[in-house]
Amino acid sequence: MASLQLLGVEKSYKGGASIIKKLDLFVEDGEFVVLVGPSGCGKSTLLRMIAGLEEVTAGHILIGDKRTEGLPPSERGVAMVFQSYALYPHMTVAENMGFSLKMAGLPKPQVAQAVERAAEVLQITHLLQRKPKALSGGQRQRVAIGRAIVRQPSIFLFDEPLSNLDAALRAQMRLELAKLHKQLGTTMVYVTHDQTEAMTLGDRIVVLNGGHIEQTGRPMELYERPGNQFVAGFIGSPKMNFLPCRVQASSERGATVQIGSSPRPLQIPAPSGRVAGEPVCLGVRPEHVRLTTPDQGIPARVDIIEEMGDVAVAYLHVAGLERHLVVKTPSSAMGFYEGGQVGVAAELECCHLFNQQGVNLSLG
Amino acid sequence: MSAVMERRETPAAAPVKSRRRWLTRKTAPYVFISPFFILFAVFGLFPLLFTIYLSFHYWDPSTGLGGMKWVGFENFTFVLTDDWFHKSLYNTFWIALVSGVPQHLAAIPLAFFLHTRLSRWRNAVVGLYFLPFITSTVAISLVFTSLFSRDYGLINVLLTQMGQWEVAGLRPLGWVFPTENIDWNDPGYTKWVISFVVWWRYVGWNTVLYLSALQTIPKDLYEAASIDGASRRQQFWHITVPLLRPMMFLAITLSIIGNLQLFEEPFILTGGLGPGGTSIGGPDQAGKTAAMHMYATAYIESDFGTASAVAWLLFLIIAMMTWANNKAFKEKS
Ligand SMILES: Nc1ncnc2c1ncn2[C@@H]1O[C@H](COP(=O)(O)OP(=O)(O)OP(=O)(O)O)[C@@H](O)[C@H]1O
Ligand SMILES: [Mg+2]
Repeated sequence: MASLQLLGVEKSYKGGASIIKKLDLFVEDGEFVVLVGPSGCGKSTLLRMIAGLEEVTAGHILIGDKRTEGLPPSERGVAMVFQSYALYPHMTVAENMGFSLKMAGLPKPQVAQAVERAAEVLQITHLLQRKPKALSGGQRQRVAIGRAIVRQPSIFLFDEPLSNLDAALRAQMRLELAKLHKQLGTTMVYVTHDQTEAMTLGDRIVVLNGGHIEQTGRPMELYERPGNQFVAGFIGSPKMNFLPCRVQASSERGATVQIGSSPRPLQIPAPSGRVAGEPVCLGVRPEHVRLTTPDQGIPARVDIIEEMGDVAVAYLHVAGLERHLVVKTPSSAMGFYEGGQVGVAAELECCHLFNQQGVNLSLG
Repeated sequence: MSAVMERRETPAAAPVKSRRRWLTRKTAPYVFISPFFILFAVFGLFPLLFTIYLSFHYWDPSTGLGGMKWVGFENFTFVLTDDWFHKSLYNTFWIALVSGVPQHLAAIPLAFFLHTRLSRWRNAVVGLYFLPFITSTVAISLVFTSLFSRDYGLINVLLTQMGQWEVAGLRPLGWVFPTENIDWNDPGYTKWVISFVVWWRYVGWNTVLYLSALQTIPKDLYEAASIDGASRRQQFWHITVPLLRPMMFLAITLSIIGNLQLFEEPFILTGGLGPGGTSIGGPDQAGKTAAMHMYATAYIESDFGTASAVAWLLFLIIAMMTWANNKAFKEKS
């Protein structure tokens, strides 16, 4: 087990733009860190640099307190689980899992023992003699993880390991990964697109965008106190509503803003010192918007309702707003229908104000 | 789908139908596919069946179709006990092995090298290796005939220069390299020269086959292997070679079929056919392959019946070898 340190890490391809820009990150020993970010932001590249599959253009990567420059992948003490699983198709499951130990020159009985132990942890003992093509997606995923476990690495690297699985299997594997982390206590760096994986698995989430870190923090911290508009929009599903508006007045109690052409201004808690007329963006999550009767709150029209069973997501048209306002409410609270008029009220303490640069003003 | 289309097209198709009734919806596909079957029947199937028929007859074509004489299995028993056939078969297998085995032993590492180390120049280099494969055999054989010529050939010049290299009155390389010009026409060399030319000609072809197979191996397998601690050499043995097996099977099958039917290269390199019908296969017939034997039997001895029997026996041998190869590759996987 080991900590992981990235110091001013940069990556650029020959003749291309830089993919990773001066990135610093410290992952504690035993921590489960989730990397999220839009497609193409450099998550895989970062992971591959840690694994030693990709050269570092500038900066240092330290595993434990060992510098990794020039260290081949096998000597870094990392194991990587690929999105494609990358199982060796001509080897049995047991051979796949034991390959690294065999390469290290361990005697056969020892390899078999280590494979046996890892297979028990993942409950794939009955599959050991099969070839990968005779396995289901979930089983392959387990084998890929098993291959990583057998090496007893000090850091696990996962690159979207569950993205090829169906929803039910993904939920199950997510649980097992969490269990595995508890059991092994090994440092894990996990790349994903999936909101739920990020929120539930990570001790800490790192939000990447365009090769730099937007924010890092515990999942709930990012959800409740996003540092900027990008993070606010990226964490949470459905996405946070962003409503462009202007500050009408500012006081100790917050800033008063007008939503669309609504006659009822809202007072958002924010440090004083905002200038009247300043263009800002109000951010409010769909789950923090309540629907009331048209005579209360901001008047709106229901355009579309998506019924999920437990919750319903409604897309509202508010006069003066270009985009729909998205609302998530428990299905039981549904007293409205498509085309109907409703009133909208927001939980003001959960709203955020972002300035033109996207900085969250509400954090103070 | 088709029902809908038919209904929609009926009014438009009706007048056409009345003009050429033979080209209906049902017959059209067969009419369009027929050229292949007609050509195949005339130039493929008929000769095939005719040689079976011929192999049970004695026939000199100059006597016309009426000159055929039923001889039963006599052609086959004759060929099977014929020393010339045995010798040509021996030559064929000798050349097939000596040129074929190194072809694959060279092509696989070469393809691996091209695949892993070259990127920008890969296609150009592959093209160079492939060039002999598409060059006319006659041109190749002419070039090699002059390279291997006894008195002025470049190969002899190079070899003897090495052998005659003197340091302080001694010839240190004299015991490895010849000091006198070698007569490559000597029967002892014939098969070596032919094998070398065949090897040289088809190594590029095999390289291309293996290269295409290498390109289908996912890159992340190598990445996983390098994380698992496999060196480049170990990656080659544990990842590349096993995943090349299907292509090895195909390439070796093609080599077996091609090498056992070898004709052009040895025929031209050994000077083809002398005016008196003498040199098929060079001095001592050291370069006479089974296919050349078949050719000589038919066109020089005008014995088409025996030649057909040779052809069918050769076919059986090739089929058996291919089957054995298939067996060898299936069992392990
Ligand atoms: N060999 C390469 N040469 C040039 N650019 C590359 C190369 N490999 C990747 N890139 C670029 O680097 C950027 C980051 O790629 P990367 O695979 O790390 O993205 P990612 O965050 O993992 O995306 P995704 O979520 O879609 O997997 C992309 O814009 C990609 O186009
Ligand atoms: Mg990626």
